[in-house]
Amino acid sequence: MQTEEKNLSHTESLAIIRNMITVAKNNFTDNGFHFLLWGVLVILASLGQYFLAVVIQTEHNDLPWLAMPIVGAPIAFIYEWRKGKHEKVKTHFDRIFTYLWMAVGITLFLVIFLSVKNQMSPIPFILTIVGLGAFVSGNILNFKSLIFGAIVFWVAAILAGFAAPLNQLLINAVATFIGYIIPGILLWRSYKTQVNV
Amino acid sequence: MFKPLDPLLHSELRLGIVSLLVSVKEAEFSFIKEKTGATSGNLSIQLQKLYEADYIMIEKSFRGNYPLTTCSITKKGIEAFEKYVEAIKSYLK
Repeated sequence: MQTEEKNLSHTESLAIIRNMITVAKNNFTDNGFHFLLWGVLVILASLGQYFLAVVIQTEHNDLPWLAMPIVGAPIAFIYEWRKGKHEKVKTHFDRIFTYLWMAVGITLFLVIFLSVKNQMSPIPFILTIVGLGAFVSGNILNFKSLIFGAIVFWVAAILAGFAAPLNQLLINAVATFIGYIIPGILLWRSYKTQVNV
Repeated sequence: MFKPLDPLLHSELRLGIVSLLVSVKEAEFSFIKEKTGATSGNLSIQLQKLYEADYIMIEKSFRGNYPLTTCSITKKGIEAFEKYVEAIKSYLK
């Protein structure tokens, strides 16, 4: 684009507007990092607790869940901090995304705390809430595998509600694999393709 | 009846800058330069004009040892852009 001297026709004006809005729209992508990070950690924690409860048969089988945020939060924080240093633009979608997952995180924390306090398994509720996060994210990103993942989370939530506590862990691991890991890998691949173009 | 076109927006580069900023929350100088294909000097002049008209906000800071210029659109800028689009539509009817 050059100086202001050029006399613009009305169709040229519209073309500039359309072009710039498209440029900004295409700039919102997600590389799936958080889906992969938290997906792997949730699967490890679920299978870890199952292993400790069934194979080792220890009472402290919930330790993997305590370790999960201790490992995940610093990695997520450092990643976001480093990403922020290289980000040249912030879209409105970035803001919606941040607040959505912040709300999901706070709700999960409260639900886990209240479920444990009332001696209930939090897993069906966790699956319901992460399903919500995946559904909204999938629609913002227009990414069908994430929307499909959300439906898997919700179906898994119903199944977990009728399953024994230990089986809930296995349901959680499978749902997380389909709902987070597969879309996470697809997002990562699509992001890499876009960056390399 | 044809509506008058805002002369500040009826320029290739300034219209490009405002259309870009309308679509995002904020953007760095280097991002706007890359997407509009403008030269640094020309972009600085046009950003200054938009800033003086209160159409955009310009925030200057540092990232490490390097100066960083971040731009965002103001409410007045959004209104001017909307009026401009309406005016363009009236010409095309």
